Amino acid sequence: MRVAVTATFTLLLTTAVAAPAVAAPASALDQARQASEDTPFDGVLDVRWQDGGATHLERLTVQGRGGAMVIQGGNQVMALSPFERLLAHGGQSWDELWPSSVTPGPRPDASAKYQVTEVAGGPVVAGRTTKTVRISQGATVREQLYLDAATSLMLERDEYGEDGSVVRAMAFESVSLDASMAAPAKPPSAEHPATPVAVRGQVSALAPLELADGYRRVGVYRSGGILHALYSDGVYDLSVFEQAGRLRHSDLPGPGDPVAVAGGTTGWTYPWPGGQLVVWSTEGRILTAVSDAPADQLLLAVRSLPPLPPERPSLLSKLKRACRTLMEPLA
Amino acid sequence: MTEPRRFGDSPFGGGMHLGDALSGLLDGELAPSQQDAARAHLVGCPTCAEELRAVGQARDWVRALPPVEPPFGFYERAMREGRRGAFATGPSLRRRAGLAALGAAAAAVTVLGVGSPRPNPASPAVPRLVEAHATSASVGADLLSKLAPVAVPVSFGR
Amino acid sequence: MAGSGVPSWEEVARNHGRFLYTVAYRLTGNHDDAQDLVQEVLLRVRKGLETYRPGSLEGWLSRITTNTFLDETRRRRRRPVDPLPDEPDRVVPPAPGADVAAASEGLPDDVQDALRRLPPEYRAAVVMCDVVGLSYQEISQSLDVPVGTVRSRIHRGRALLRQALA
Repeated sequence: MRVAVTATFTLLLTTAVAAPAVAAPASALDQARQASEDTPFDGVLDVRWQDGGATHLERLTVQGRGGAMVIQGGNQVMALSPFERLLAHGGQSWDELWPSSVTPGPRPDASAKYQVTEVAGGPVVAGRTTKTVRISQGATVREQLYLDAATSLMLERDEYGEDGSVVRAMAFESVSLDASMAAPAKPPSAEHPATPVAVRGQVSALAPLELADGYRRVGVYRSGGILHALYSDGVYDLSVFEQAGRLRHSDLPGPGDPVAVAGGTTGWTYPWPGGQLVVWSTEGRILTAVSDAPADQLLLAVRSLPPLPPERPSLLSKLKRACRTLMEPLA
Repeated sequence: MTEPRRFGDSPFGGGMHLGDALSGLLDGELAPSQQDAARAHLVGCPTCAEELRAVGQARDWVRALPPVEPPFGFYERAMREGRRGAFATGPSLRRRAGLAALGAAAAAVTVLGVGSPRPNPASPAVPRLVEAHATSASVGADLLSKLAPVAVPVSFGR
Repeated sequence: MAGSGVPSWEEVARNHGRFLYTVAYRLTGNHDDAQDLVQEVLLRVRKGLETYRPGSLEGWLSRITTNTFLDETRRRRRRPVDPLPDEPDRVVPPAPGADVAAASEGLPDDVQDALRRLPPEYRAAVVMCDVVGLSYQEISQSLDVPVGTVRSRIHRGRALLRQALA
């Protein structure tokens, strides 16, 4: 065990020493990204988000070691490499949600859409001095990041709603950069419930190369019967999941808010701890768009999806449907 | 306790209490003179004051009911049927489907399982989709802020 | 909608679909019957069975919806029922005290359920008044009953709702 720890530590040192050799980060955002992989840290992270009128707070413990990370809350998440992701629900066994074999393409350059500026000074977060990085889109400030002045590790991230109030925030309540613990090891018995595989060539009409507001497709995956198209605008990511079926109200995850989506269809929108999502149904397909983007961007993007040709049920399927209707009272 | 005042020569007739004039008062449907008389009566009549509060509460509840969204695709279906003239003759889409089934059931039983069926109802496993999004989006992006939300089990208030 | 002309059923579906569905759902209390009711309303609009007077389109739609609903309700009644207690001296049950009232907060599902259990004529009057927002005069014309009857039905409907939700 001791040997293993020493070996890992040596590896970390090597990584740390090797880091400056990597091409100079293009922007403050890239510096923060790089720092979250390079800087060993232990901390307690508070995640806050708005849901209707209520603010939720979840306190997580976080450890980062050389590109690997363990986040412990109600669920436990592991990033084992720059690619592989494991997740355990509650205290249950580990599922491999994202294997290292699938990697999205490069993200678009964020500077086409956002202005990323360093603002002089920053608050003290978890006892550490910060510098402020502001991400604006035109006149709208989308978010502010507070990076550790010494390492560029992100210590706080505040996202703003349309009225300028903070709608989501992530901030270290305490953090230690004197890492001495081992890097996480892959649990011996990770399961692969629905491992996604990359899809190439002809994909669904509902996975165009581009969506409104600068979202470009960076990958399409299939997992079980669900097609997953991942989009990015360089800062935020947006997934569109497509599956066959008709949506019933009872299938929706909660009351939600109705919104107009593509083709004048009504969808239902919900906040989740990392962003916003929309569920809707069109022509025998169920669509779920999940994003960490601001809600207005998610809706713009979703409304730009192409319409599907109308469903034409066959005579047989009409008969089957009629039979089902007949049987329903007997069920 | 104050004795309710006589209301005998009021604009509401000979009753002791205001009755449905209370709803008229709430809805602004009383003439000014009736309003004044009703308000004067309420001052001395706890029974009517209590009834006013109760029906006012029921009124508020119904007024606070949210709009109801039609089921997905309901109007689109109705418009398709309507353009074909299908709902201009006979019972509704829903009931017609039932009647058709009565006639067709015997024949249909023999052909079930053949042809392309209409999609069945399916539940999107929204919490799992959220996890799939966050894990895929965290690859090559800011690991901490993309991945941390997945450590919070997703629930949508149900 | 096209000026003061009669709106087409497609315009109604496209531009007033949510309103129409809301009224139908509040009257019937379930999605199946609401869909049938809306379908029947669209049919009546399509066939030009209802006289349209330029004015409140939603008032017109709610009149058609409510009357279609009441027609259907009466058609379904297999036996004559007691006449409605429209007479004004019928006693409204006393309301519970404030402590009881605080316990029931008028949750939408509970309110809808209580609404569904009202006699149809009371329900129609309450929906037209409190969901659609029509005046007593407008309701009276729509349902072809005197204003006093409208007031009485609304009041009794509310009192029964309050009692059911206590």
